[in-house]
Amino acid sequence: MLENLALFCMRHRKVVLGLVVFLTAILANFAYKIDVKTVFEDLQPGSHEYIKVHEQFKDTFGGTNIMTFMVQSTEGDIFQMPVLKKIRDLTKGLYSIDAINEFQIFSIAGKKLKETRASTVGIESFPYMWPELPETQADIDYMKEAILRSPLVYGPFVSKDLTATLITVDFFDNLLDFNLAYEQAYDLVKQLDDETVDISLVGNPILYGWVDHYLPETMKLISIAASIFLVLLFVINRTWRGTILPLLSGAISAIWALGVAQLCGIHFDPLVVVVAMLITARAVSHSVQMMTRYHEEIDKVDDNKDVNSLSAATTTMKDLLRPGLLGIATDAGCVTVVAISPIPLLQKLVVLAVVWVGTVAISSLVVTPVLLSWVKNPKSYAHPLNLDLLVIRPFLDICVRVVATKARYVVVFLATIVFIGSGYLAQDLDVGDSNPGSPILWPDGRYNVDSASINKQFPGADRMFVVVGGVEEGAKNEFGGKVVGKIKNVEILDGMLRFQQYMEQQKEIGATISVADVLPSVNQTLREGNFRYSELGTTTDQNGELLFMFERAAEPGDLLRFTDVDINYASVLMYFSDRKGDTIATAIARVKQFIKDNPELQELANFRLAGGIIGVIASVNEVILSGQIQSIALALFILVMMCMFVYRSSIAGLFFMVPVVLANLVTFAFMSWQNIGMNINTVPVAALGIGLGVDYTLYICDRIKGEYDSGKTHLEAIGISLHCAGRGVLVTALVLIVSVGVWLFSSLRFQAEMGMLIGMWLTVSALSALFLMPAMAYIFKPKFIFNEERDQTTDAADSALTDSTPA
Amino acid sequence: MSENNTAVEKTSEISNTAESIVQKIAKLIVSIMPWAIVGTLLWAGIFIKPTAVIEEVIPPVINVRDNIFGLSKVNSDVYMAVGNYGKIIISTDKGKSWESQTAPTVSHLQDITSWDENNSVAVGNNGVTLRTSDGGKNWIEVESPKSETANKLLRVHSYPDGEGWAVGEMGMILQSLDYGETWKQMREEEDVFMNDIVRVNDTTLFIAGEFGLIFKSADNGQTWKDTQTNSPNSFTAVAFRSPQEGVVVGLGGSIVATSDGGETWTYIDPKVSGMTEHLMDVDWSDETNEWVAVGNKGKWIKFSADMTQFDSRNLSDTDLTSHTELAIDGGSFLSVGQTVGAMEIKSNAWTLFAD
Repeated sequence: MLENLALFCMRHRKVVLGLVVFLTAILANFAYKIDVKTVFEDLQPGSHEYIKVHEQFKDTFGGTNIMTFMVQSTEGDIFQMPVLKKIRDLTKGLYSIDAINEFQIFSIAGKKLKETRASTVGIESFPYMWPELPETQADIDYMKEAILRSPLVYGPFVSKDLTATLITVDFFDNLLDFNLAYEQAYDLVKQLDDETVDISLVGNPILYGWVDHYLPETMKLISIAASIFLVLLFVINRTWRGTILPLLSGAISAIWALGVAQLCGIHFDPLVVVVAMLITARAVSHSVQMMTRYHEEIDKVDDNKDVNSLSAATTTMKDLLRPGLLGIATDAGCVTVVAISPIPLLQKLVVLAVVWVGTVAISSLVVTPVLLSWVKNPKSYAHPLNLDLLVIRPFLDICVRVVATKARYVVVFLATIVFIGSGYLAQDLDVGDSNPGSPILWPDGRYNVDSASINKQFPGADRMFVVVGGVEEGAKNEFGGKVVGKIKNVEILDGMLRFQQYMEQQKEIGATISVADVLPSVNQTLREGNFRYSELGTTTDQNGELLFMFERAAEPGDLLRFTDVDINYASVLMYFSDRKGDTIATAIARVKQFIKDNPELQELANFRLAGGIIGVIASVNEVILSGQIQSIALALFILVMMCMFVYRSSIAGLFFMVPVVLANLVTFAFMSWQNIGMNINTVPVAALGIGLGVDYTLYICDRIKGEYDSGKTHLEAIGISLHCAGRGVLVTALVLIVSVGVWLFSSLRFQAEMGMLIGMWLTVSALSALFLMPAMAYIFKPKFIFNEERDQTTDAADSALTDSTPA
Repeated sequence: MSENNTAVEKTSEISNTAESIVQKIAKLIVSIMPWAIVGTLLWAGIFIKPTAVIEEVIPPVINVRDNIFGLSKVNSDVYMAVGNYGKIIISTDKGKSWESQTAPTVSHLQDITSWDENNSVAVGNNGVTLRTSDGGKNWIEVESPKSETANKLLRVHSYPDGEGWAVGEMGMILQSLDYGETWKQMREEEDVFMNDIVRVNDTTLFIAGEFGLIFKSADNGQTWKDTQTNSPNSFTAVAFRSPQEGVVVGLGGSIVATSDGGETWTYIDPKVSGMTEHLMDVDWSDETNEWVAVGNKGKWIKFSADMTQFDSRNLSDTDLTSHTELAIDGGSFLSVGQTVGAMEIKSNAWTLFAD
C-alpha cells in the first residue's frame, strides 16, 4: 500500500508539489500573524480544586500577578527623610503603571497599612505616613516605634533590621499586559534608584516581562542555530540540494504548523520554542535520511551509465516511507499522551506538536524525494572536501566492526550498566522547581538576584492563601435573612490561629496573616493594653464586637484583605521564601495534615486549598507529578503497540523500547544531577523525547530487514544499513547537536537547560542506534528483522548440502 | 552397527526432547514477556499516581507566635514557663534552651509556680488549674472554685509546706495547702481583677488589684481590706524585699511603694520615673541592690529602694516586644513574653533565647 502511495506521488509529482506550494503560501499568511506571548492562565490546570478556589477568591485575597518592590536603604535604616521620601515617591509612582489594582497597594506610605491605637472613643487607626511625610525627627521616631510594635507590619513589610521595606501591588488580571507592566515598573525603579536606596523588583508580571524581553535574543539564537546547521549540512553533504532541502522541509513544517495553530486560535508561547526546535529537528532528520538513501541509489549506477533521478527518488521514497511514517506516527502518538494533563498550555501544545509532527510526513517524506526526482546532475558536488571519506565512513566502519566482533557484548554490557546507573540516579528527580528563584532565568540574572535579596530580608515574596469558612448557597439565618459573619465564630478564629502557628513551623514559610491576627491586638487594646489579654474574645459575640471596633477604626475595605464583605469567608495568607517543589509539597501536605488532625474544626470551618501564586504552582506540580508516570508509561505503551502492529511481532515492541527507555533514563539522571526539576516546561520535552528516541533505530533496523530479506547475510545487512541509514543518523545527530548547542548561550536558563537535555537525548539515541541496537539485533537475531521463513530455507539448503556430502 | 545407530538416535532423540522442552519454555517466556510488559505499561499508565516526598518539619519548642506569660524559677539552673494554648516548657540551663511538656488543656496558661523540682502548679484562662508532682512528666487538671461570669486566673505563687495562692478575674483568690491538689476560695466574688499576690510574713498577704487598689490581709487571707492608692491605673504585680518594704507596679508605668508594711503607699509619678509604658512584673535584685520591672513594648526599668533613682530602658533597639514576667538570677534576669531572653542588669545587654 505504501509502495503504491509512493508511486502515486511520483507519478503526479507536479500536482503534489503544486499543492504543497499552494498550501504553504496560504498557511504562511496565517503563520505570519501568530501571537507570540505567554498567557499565565494557560499554565493553570482549570479543573484542579486549588485553581477553583484561587479563581473564586483571587480578586479578594490577592492573585498571582503581584508585583513586589523592595526599597533598601544603602546606609542606616529606612527611618530617615531621604529614604522615606523615596518610599513615598515609589508608592505614588505605582499609579502610573497600567492595570494596577489601586485597592491592593500595600506600603508604609499607603493608606492600607496602619497603626491601631486606643483612645477615649475606643479604637482609632492612622496610616503611618499617608498622605503626608512626617515632618520632624520626633514624628519619624514615633512612626518607627509604631511600626516596630505592629506584627502585621514589622516583619512582613519592614525588615527585622529596619533597613528595607516592601511595597506590593496587585493587578487586574484581565487588563494586564506583561510587557507594558514590566517596562513601566522598571522605568519607575530607574527614576528612583540612586545612592540613597537600592530597589529590587520581583513578581510574575516582571518574570514574564523578562521572557518577552529576551524574545529578540531568542530569534537571534534561532537564526544562528539555523546558520550553523546550514553550513554543517553543506560541508558534509557537499551539495546545495543536501543543504537546502532539509531546511526547506523544516520550514514547510513550521509554516504549516504555525498557520494551523493561528487558525485554531492557539498562540505561540516563547517558552515552548524548544519543542518547536525539536520537531523541526525531526523534519530535518527525515529529510536527510531521504537524501542519503537517494545518493546511495545514484551511486549504485555505474559512472558511464545515465543516471535517472526519478527512479532513484522513487525507490528511496518507496523504501523509506515505512520507517519514516512509523517514526512520525510514534512521535505524534507519544506526544498526544501529554494532552491527558488538565493544563491548557500543554493541551494547546499537544495540538501544535501533533499538527507539526504530522506535517513532517508531507514536508520530509514527500517533498524531499519529489524535489530530488528533478535533480539533473546528481553526481556533481559543490566542494571537494569529502568528510564522508575522512570521518563518516571510518566511524561507521568502527560501528560495523563492533557488531562483527566480541565488542558487541561489551556494548550491551556497558549499556546495561548505564541503564541501571541512570535508573538509580533518576529516582531523585524533583517535581517542581529544584532551586530557589525562578528556574526560567539564570541565578545571576537581575530578577533572581533581586528575588534573593528580598527573600533574605523578608519572610518571602510569594504567597499562598487558604480559604476558611463559607456558608451554603441560599443559607438563611434565624430571621430568614442572609447569613453573615460566620468567621466571627470563636472556634473558627481560634482554629485559624492554631493553623497559622502550625504552618509557621516550616522554615520556608516566613509568616502567615489572617483576620484572627488582628483581633488579639484589638482585644489587648480594649483591655487597657494588658498583654495577658492579647488573645481572641472568649465568645462569638465578643469577637463580633472586636471586629466591629476594628472596622470602625479602619477604612471601608481594609478588612477585605482578610475576609469577604459578608465575613463568611476568611483567608490565611502565607509568605513563602522560595518556590521549590519540595517546599510547596511539604506545605500542602501540612495543610492537609492539620485538617486531618482537626476533623471537628474542618467540619465547622472548612479549610480549603489554595490560592495565590504558590497555590497555583502547587496545583501544577501535583498534576505533573501524578501524570509523570502516567504519561511516560502511556507513551511507551503507544510506541510498543505501534511497533508491534507495523512489524507484526510482539518482540519488535520490546526491541524498540530499549533505546527510548535508555535515552529517557539518562536524561532524567542528568536532570536530577543538574537539579533541573520536572515542571510544566520539561514535561512536553520528555514526552516528545519518547517518540523521537526511536526514530533513528527505526531507520537502521528497517534497512537491516530490507537487506536481509533480499538475500544478504546477517552481517552484510547490518553493514549496508549502518553505512546508509547509519550515515543519515550520524549526520543529523552531529548537525543537530551542534545547532542545539547554541542554546547553551541563551539568557533564559530554561532554554539553555532544554538545549542541553535535547543534545543529550540526541546523543544517547544516536549512539544506541549506531552501536547498541545493531549489536542487539546480531546477538538476539529477532525474527521481525531476520525473517524466519528465509532463514529456514537457507537452513534447509544448508542441511541438505551437509546431509548429501557423506553419501 | 544398527544397534549402535539406534542407541545414538535414541540419545539424540532424548537430547532433542530435552532441548525442545527448554526451547518451548524459552519460546513461551519470549512470547509472554512482551505482552506482560505491555500490560504493565498500561496498568502503570492508568493506575500509578506517585505522591510527593514530604520533608519532615521539626517544630521549634518556642514559636514566633508563642506568647510565654508565666515563669517560675525552680532553682538557679532550672526554669519552667507557661504560655498560650496550654504551652508548658522547662529549661535546665538558665533559659538558653527549652523542652516541651504535655499539658491536658489548650487553654492559655498565665502563670506557673514551683515548690521544688517535683511539685508545680500552673493556672490560666477558664480557671484551669494544673498540677504535677513529678517535675512535669505528667500534668493533671485539678478542680478549683469557679465563677459563673469570668474565670481567668492570672498569677499563682507558692510558699513552704505546699501552700499556694492564685488570683484572677472576678476578685478570685484561691488558696491551696496541699501542693495544689485542692483549692479553696478565700473571698467573695466581686467584679474586680486580682492581678498578683504575695505573702509577706506568717500572717500578711498583699494583692495588686484593678483601678489602683491594693488588698491586704493580716489573718492569712480570712479577711481582706482594700486601700485606694493615688495611682489612676490598674496594678499588675507586687513584690516585697522585707516585711516593711515593697512595691506595686502597673499599667501606664505606675509605681507605688511602701516602707511601713503597706500602711501607706507613695505614688511615683511617671514623669519622675520616666516610664509611661505598662509594667507587668517587678522583683528585687540583691546583687545589684535595686528593683527591676519589665513591661510592654520592650521597656524595662530599674530603681533604687528609696525611690530616688530611676533608670528606664529598652531591652534592645529592635526588640519592642511585650513581656509579662521576670525571674532574678544574680545580676541578671530572665524575662518572658512575646520573646524569651536574659538581661544583664548593669550593662543592659539583652540576649534573646527565643522569638
